[in-house]
Amino acid sequence: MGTIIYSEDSNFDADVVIVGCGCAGGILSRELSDAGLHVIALERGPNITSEEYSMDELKFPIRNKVLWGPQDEPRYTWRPNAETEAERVVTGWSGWGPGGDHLHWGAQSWRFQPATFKAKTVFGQVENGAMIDWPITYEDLEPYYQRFEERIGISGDHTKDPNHPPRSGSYPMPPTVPGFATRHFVKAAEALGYKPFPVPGAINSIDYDGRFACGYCGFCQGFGCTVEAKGDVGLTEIRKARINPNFELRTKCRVFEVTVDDNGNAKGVKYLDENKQVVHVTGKMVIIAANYLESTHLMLISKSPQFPNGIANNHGQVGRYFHMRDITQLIGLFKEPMNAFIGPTPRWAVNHFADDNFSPKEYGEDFVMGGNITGADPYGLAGQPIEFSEAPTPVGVPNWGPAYRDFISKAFTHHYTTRIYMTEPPQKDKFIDLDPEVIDSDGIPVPRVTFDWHPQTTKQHAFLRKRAYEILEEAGAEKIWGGELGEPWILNSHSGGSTRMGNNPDESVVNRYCQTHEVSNLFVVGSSCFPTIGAYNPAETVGALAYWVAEFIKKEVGKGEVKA
Amino acid sequence: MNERKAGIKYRRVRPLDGRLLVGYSVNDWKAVKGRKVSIYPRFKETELFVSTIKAAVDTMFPDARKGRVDHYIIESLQTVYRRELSVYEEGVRRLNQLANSMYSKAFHQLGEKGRTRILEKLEETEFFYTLRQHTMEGMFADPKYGGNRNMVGWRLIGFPGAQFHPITHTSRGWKTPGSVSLKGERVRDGNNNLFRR
Repeated sequence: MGTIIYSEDSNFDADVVIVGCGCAGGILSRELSDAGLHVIALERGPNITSEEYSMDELKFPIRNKVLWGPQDEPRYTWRPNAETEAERVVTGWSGWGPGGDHLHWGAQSWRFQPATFKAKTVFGQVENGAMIDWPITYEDLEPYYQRFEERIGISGDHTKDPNHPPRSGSYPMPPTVPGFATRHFVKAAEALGYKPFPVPGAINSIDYDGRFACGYCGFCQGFGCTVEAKGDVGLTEIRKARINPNFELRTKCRVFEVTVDDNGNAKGVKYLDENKQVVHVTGKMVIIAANYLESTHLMLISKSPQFPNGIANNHGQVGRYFHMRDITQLIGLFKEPMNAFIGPTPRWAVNHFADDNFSPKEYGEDFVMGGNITGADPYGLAGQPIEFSEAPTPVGVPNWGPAYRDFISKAFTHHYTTRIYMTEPPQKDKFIDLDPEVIDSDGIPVPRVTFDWHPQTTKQHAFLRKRAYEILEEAGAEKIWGGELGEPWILNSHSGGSTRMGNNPDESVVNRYCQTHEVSNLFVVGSSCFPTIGAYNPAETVGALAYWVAEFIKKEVGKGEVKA
Repeated sequence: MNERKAGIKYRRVRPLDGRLLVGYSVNDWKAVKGRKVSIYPRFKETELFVSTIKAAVDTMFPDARKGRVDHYIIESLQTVYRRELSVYEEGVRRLNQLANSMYSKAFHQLGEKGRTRILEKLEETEFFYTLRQHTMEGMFADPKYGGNRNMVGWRLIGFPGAQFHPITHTSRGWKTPGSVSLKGERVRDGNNNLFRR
């Protein structure tokens, strides 16, 4: 499969040029530079270090300073279907800096279940669906999941997970200590016959790899950790790669084109540097690892005579089958203080209804694939007060004035939530292309997302919401509200499909090693390669995939195909 | 952008990415893009503007003045929130216009009831949304930003502030005895020395 053919130009700046130095790009940077390849990684964001981190809610998740790109830039437009014009322009760039979106992640570090890789075989096809089996299996990725868990530092206890797939080793650290709210949730879930277990998290429960143990401050998701107890690719793989002279990280570089030679091989990339000067950097191979949306976008805007519709898109597959899954929270208000804001973001999970762990038919339901449930999470991300003030209020309680003051002065400490994590089947007619009208401040057309929930989603949502509601009820909540299905224009980072992997170039963009079918020295790595999204959070699978791709490239190089 | 629902209903926080995504209609986006933002704001701290904001934040969230939320907002408008200045100017003008036509008074001269009735009329506007968001920020952000004076916001809701938590804080019924700011200032409930001025 996929021998890499290189451009015939001779003066390369690097062996490998990587676009985007986040979860996937950071891992590839380290693995390939360790293997002796000269790697240049281009990162849109500035050089962020943990010295800038603080327990400052306004600075981090509210004003989105430090870890996110400019919030007044348009990121994409949205419409529900191809028959309408773009209805929304959505502003706010995603995570940036060395580590990208991984820097502000919630640190839930899951392996997808084996069924996710065999989605079509296990769940069948849905109406208008584009379900396929992945060209790789859980068994293929297993060693790389394990590597991710050891490198990034994951704490957890798989023996408590009633549905955990086979694994080669245990997590490198025991789980963190559950707070009062979580213990309260666990008791209620157990009373209903479920088997709750700690969510595997990139949280140091003990000192690990030169980084400190968690201090339970709660400034977790949406923040960088002040004691580096929250593992991410920036603190681990990228930091280590940067010691290696083979590796060069260029920050504040916005890539806008993958260039090709006359034979249609990738030659390098063009980017705008800090001063908006165009720089062309060349490499024997190019890896795009810039977030599902930005990776897809870069391919679409990289037009050339060989690829008039974007690089590696002569089969018209780039952008197709885009899908995202929703996550939503039900709030429960209790008589006693719960203090759900204390402790790291990963809590405990009930995976009884996730993926193929149950049969919807036995409940009289006709949707396929289930979702995951966690508790006791605070409302929002990490549970700080400004975010809590954005929570919906129960029926009859206004969200301002004296009645609201009274509400928040109790609810902040006396609530916790159950979260539901849904699954979304990919659809034939949902896709990403370029907006014909809206451009960003560099004059580049933004991506246009054509997406709406699959009709089964409302059914799955109602089912999961009911289950999550019952847990709060069993726990004795005085009031339970929220947890409505989100709107389809609000893109989150749990998305897949727009450069999906497959064996057939007529229905996929990349092969099982994330190598594009059309350009053998161009790779795309990230969640956009996922043909389907499982019930579990995708970050660890992005990371495992990056190690898997790195292994393939290293083997290819070993064959002498690249003069490293 | 006054008294229009446009844009507002599409603003949402995602419990996932940690940032406020703002969704505009295509036309609103063009209007927002065309909004002029000067490096040196033409903002004039008129007495009417300041007293209107003071009254407005207190209507939005009682105790907001105690936390100097008005101070937080006015300072932010001259720095990070310059872009929102026109929204405030329009909003302040509208508040006083309504106060004048309904009660023949300025907004800040009204009692709580009158102010509430007027603010209710603007509930769906961009101004209201922005004012509410900034009031909560001024109430609950770290005191170093000028609001949440003496951590009144945090003490009201029982938030311990910027600190690590020993295992004892995960016990049943734990209640924070006070709050800690990023600078390390401490306020303990039951000892209001810091609070008195």
